[in-house]
Amino acid sequence: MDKLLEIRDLHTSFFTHVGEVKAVRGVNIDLYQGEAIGIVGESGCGKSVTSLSIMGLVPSPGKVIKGEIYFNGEDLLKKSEKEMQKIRGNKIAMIFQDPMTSLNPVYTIGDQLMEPLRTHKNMDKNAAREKAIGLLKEVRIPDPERRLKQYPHEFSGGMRQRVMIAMALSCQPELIIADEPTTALDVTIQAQILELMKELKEKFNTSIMLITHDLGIVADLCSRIVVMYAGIIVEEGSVRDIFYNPKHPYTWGLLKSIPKVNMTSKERLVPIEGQPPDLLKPPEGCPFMPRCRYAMRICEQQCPGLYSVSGRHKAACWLLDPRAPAVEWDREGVSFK
Amino acid sequence: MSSQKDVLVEVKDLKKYFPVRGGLIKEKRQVLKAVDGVSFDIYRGETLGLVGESGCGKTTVGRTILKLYPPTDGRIIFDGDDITELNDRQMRSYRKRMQIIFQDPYASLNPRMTVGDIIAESIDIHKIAYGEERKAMIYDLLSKVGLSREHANRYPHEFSGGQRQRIGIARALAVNPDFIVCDEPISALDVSIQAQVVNLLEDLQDEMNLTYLFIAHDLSMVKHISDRVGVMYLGKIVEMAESSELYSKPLHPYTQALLSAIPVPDPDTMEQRERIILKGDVPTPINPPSGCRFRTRCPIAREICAEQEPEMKDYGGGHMAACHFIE
Repeated sequence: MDKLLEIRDLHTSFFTHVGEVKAVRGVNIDLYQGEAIGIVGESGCGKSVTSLSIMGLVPSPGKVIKGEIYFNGEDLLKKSEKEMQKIRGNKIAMIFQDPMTSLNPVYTIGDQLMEPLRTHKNMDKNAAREKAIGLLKEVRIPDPERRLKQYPHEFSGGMRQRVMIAMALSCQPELIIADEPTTALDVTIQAQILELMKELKEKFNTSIMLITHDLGIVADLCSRIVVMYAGIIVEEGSVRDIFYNPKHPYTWGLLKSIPKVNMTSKERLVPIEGQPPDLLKPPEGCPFMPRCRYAMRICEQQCPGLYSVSGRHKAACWLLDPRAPAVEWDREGVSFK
Repeated sequence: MSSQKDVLVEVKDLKKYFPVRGGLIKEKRQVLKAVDGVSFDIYRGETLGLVGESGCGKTTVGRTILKLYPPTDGRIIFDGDDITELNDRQMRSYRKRMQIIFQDPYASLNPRMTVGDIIAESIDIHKIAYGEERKAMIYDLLSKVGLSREHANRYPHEFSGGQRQRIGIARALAVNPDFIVCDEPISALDVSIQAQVVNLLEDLQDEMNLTYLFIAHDLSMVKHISDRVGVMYLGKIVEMAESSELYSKPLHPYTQALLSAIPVPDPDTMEQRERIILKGDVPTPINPPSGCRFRTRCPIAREICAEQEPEMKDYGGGHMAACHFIE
């Protein structure tokens, strides 16, 4: 497998009137061809900012201040806006969270679907229309010829998200970044969209970077997970590593705070007490320390690096240091049915 | 808890229609049937969960029970008294006993009021306490929901989503209610914060003997918190049962599809599980399908479903469902 995307030591900050908010603080991610990776974490952990940094779409007053993002071996951060425009929507496509606001209400679905085809692939109008109809069929929108002439308000939420997926697929990108693609949708519609994304991934061998806070969706679609907290990666590994052998107390907390579907008695949930740190003044030590039940003195003083657990499974926690006391993860906490 | 079977809220064939202006020519008035004949009981001290997809009418049910919307038809009986026809003034004494926690902790708190005044608003309206006593009540409520005294003089924007939801809970508790409608109280919160708020709601329920109607679309959280769960589809309840019963033996094809659609955070289960993928979208409640409303998306629908509306039947132990094809 070839490495498609390589993020090295990415730092992105927002320069607000109250100071510098360090949203992403040194993130490294590798993504291979045909792989689906899930980036999970709570709001404000930097998962969306990471994806916007890849696309070169970090909104002002945000800025990438350090790092490299290699896509097919080329550093995207060194590219001009014009060069980026040739990549966006063409080689890397993005599906946004809110299908209600990410389509332009004054253009027809057809116009919006044909736009990337005409700009990136130099298709003439008829060829683009043919292709657009094919794409709508691909995402299973009935009666595509008629639908092409309609406006976004005539589509339901699930249908709009299908259109977004069709648009993302239109130029056969090598990478699709999906930022909470199903959060705004109902469960049964979410199931439809996830099924569709899985199918399309198999068919076109597209790599997917899925950004979400829902661990269930990741378990469904992805093979690898990156867990982010307060702008850094706290744990990464295969889906099985993260769900069956998690090593970071934050991952434990996440897994324990969701109810188990097979729970028969009224078991109490185990929340993570407290709140994430303020990224205006990120702590010197481990950012999870104030909420961690296993915090030691070192955790306050120094942020741990990523310890290798096995293969590509890594976690940033001092508990993994050979000198630390042994803490066992209670597997009962993540048995689901 | 629910073993006493003492009914606090009784809803009988409740209907709520909203008028909609149809098309460009305003002559043709249409009706949106948000809630179209819903009946259930809520027992004292229990949590009744109400789930369904957006537009199924679950929020409207909650608000109509509190008479925030005037009901179109049906009866609402609260603690033995029929409150359906009461006017606003007559409702006042009941409002002290029934409260609501809203979904969006950002929009449901007045940004120009201090937290103390927000919490005490109903204390003031109902003239429950003044001066030092009022202040003591605010402090007591704040500590009940896990906030501190100093928070009373601050404004909502200084708080995170989870904290705001705690303020919303404190406001609901201020009048010492019996019954609280929780309208998606955790949907806007992060996973780790959701568990904090759910635990708080559970503790308060034990402490103050509260009865909840818990409205949500997150099925696993509803299962966790509820004693019984009702499933809604297009303005109707299609199934209702004890929560463990509903999740282990769903009878209605819609409930089955809904449960199979929850993504489970467990890779092994996900691999083995058979998913029922429903076709299409929820039809509009302005012109719902004839007969069984679920038939347009139902994998087992036949002719009878279009002709005849299935009745709600008891399949043992209070497990109710409305479908023609349940053995």
